[in-house]
Amino acid sequence: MLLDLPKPTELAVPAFVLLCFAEMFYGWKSGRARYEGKDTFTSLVMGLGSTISGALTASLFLVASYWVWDNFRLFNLGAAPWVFVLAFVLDDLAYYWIHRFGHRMRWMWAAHVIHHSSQHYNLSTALRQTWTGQFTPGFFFKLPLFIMGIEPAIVVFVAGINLIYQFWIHTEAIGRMPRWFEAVMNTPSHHRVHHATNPKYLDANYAGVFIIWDKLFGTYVPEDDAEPCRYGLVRDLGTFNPLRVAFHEWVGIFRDVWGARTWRDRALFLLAPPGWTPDGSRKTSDMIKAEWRARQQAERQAAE
Amino acid sequence: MDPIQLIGSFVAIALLALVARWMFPNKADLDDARVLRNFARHFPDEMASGAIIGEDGKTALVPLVSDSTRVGLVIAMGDRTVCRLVAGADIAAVIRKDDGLHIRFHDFTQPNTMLRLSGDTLESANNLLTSITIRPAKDAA
Repeated sequence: MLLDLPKPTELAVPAFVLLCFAEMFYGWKSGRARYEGKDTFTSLVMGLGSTISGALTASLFLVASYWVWDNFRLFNLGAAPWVFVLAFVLDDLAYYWIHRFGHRMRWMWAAHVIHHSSQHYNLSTALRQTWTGQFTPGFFFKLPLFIMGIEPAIVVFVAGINLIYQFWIHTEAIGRMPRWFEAVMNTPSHHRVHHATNPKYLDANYAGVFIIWDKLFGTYVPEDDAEPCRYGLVRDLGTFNPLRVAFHEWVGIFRDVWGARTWRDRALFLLAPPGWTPDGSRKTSDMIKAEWRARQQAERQAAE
Repeated sequence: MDPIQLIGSFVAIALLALVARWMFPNKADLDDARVLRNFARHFPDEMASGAIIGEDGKTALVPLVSDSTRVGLVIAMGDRTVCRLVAGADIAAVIRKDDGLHIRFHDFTQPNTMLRLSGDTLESANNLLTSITIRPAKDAA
């Protein structure tokens, strides 16, 4: 008998809508949050599409998860409250790695790029989600939880709570939280850095709920008040069309793989970081950061 | 997802987008300072020699000081901008019409744009794009 748990994200949707209105109103009055009509429309349509595509493939995910849990689990941890807590923490760790690979492997970036494609950073950006996450290897990062013996329904449930947590951190309306909170939890400040395209901030703060993962694995970068975040992509999209937004990186991968000369290049167009090309004609985030560091050093030397 | 939920979602999306548009109207068109500032932010190693801005303030070309094979492009996207460095190979077609230049790109995320221009400025912009899109003739030998 499968555990029958509520779907937290579906229950939270009305609150998401109300909080978007609230942030909009606050931004209108205070100037501390900004929206744009077409951008908001695209973000929300992406959110709706993501819900629909997720629902269409949910059964497939559950069948695969339960098959692993049934056949390969080491323990049966049951459904006690402590299992939910353990699942929440471990799922957040799995999320960290899915998210990190989502930025460092173009195959996974093709799905995740959608979430970063807005040049705005507000609560509607939180809802700008992928339609194609199911077509990436992200699932494999959750396998250890099932093998450990956590029932897939619990993992789905805590992943929903994780997503709900991440909603409120997509805002410029909140500066910094109390120091103890900033030290442990992901916050608007930490996540602004993650969404920023400033070279200083690229590939940082992958955390979902607990920022400690970034501190542990060396990807933490604090927000610097002297370096205001600029949001979007290093090569921004010139369209609000949801279909183009949803599939643009897949189209790019297809074109690159089709035109590649060797099997090595074909593989690397999928597995290497976004921006990788055999001839270096495009820039990866590492190249952008290296150029930025060189410019900084040249400026420092000129000043001395 | 049941139909009622779907209809409700579309209504909420339309309402939020309309309220956003009403509360945060896009007023600022492109001007020299905005074009050059955004271009420099995206391409700090490129030196712009000026900007040719469309009469509607939506699109601008940015000629480069020391690179005649590429041109900068700044397009207003809502209240933000999109910046590109465009070479001849990136352009599918430049069509000159009475109202300006219609440019098509080999770019899924930026398929086309229009540079609304007239008179001498239209001529300059057309010449600039022609200079990067026409490939040098191969040696007869």
